[in-house]
Amino acid sequence: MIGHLPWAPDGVGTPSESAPAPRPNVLDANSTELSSPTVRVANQLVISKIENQVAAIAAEFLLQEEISIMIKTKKAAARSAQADCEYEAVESLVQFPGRAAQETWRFTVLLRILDLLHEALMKGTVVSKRNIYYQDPSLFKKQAIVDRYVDALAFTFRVQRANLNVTAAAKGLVIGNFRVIGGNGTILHIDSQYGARLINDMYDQKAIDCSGIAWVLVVEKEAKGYPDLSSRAFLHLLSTPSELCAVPPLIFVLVDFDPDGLAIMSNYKHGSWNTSHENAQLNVPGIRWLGLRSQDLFNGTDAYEPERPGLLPLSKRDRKMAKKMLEKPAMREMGREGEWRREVQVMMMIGFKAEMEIMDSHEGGIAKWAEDRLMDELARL
Amino acid sequence: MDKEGRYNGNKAGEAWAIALSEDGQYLGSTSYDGRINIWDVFANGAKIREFETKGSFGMAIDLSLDGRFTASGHENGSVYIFSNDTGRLLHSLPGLVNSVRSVAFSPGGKLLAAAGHSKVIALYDVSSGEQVANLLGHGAWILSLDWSDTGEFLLSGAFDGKLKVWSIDQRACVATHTETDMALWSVKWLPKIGRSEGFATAGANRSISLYREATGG
Repeated sequence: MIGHLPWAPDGVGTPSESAPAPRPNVLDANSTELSSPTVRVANQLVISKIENQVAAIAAEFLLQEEISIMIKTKKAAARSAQADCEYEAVESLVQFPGRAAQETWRFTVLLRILDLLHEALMKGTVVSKRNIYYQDPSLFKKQAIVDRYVDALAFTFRVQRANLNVTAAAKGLVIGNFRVIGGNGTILHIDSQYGARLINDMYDQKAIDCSGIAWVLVVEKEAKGYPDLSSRAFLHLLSTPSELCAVPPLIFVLVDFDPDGLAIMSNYKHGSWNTSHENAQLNVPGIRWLGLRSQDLFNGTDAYEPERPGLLPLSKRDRKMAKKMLEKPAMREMGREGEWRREVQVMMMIGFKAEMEIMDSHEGGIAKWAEDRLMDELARL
Repeated sequence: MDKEGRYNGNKAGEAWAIALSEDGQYLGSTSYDGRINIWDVFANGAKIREFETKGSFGMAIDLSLDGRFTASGHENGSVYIFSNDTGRLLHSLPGLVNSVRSVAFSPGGKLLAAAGHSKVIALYDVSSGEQVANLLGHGAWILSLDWSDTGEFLLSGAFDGKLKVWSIDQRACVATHTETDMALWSVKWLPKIGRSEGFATAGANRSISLYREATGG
């Protein structure tokens, strides 16, 4: 079942009854006109690609050929991949109705996502993958499906996910005192007295004046949360030397002592499989691990108490994930991340994981603990 | 082992703790889902026993010197003794509430020692299954146990690096060593040389330490 197409290509009839949607004005960099939806130049490229794809489908349909979408996905590069994220592009044709119900469904999912993306791009709005999913959960079935196909489309169109106007739901918050310079020259003052700001609000960051920043602490607190692109882009910018940021500050990360925590840290540092085509603009290779480490867990008097709150046994999923992590190139014996490897091994031997809240048993709680650790680290340098 | 690394239906990576019988004929292993497997090494590795338990991660295993019994310790505190001859469960031993990290049969086969996160060493009579003693003293998770040759002494190593020697007769700790404060993952009694006892430890301080009892002359 093909979803409603809001747009009719010139010169080709379509089965849809809808009238063509009004074309938005492309926002000129110097213009402050906002009377119609704002579409960035980069978005315009994607709109064209989507429209070309749909035009091709319509043409096939009219010629009574099987209609199809060509999609590129990533396959792990054969053996010896030194980097974690070396991949090969694999092209596949998803046809409608295709060879089986599964393919019919895949085509429908792809087309529906293209539809929703096009709509967002035309309106100049930013959608999250969650938004997309909730537009049609019975079709998409799982959030993971939307995630996967949005990434595949970004890869196929050779664009950054941000240029599809898709972000993961805005999660990252920042608190501190600094200035952000936007693409159109606007200056945003971030001031801690006003509390935390959503990083997503600073969507169009071009440069950060980090002159007043001595250190940055990233605290990862969403359960099984992976950093959203805006957060990663922000940190990348903060860690890259530039005119206004000649000496970038030290960046530390605090995560839970569990396989997910280490994976999150790896994500900040090395990037993720899904966004590996964007990694260079997102990675923070110099990020430092503040904690939690196994040695942090066994210092207090209650360290070995049975049922110690905060200390949880590793689940099957945790162990599976830990084993997988140990196979990643960077985590192998003699790999780049020897310390991480050792900690994962210790974690598996101990059989427990811990959330950072466990440090609340410390006098002053986890905030004091983190502060003390941070000061230790800074003193050491 | 077949091409996929499967050995008698078990995949690589499934086994956790292993133990060999005294003569090297039988190999026992535990798995993450609480299964205990016994293989006959001399019969080309044929699996001769598979014991199912309640599914809690099997963390420790030992075979008695005469090869007749297998003991296992699990994450949920369970300790089991199986008969290798009959293939049946003999005892489910009470007393340890938290993860069991080490189980060890005495050389004579009469007693089983078990210890783990409860920080106490429980001693059981193998034939009756009754708990006969609780050895208290450790302040941290006990990770490893080993009996001396004669069964007079028991050696234990813990997560805080403390190493203790216990007299079975006195049911008490007779020596504590604190050379390291890092976890002792394995402790072993060494073969007797002359009249002096010795033991070895290995652990998180990345070294193997050897101890020899000081003798008079």
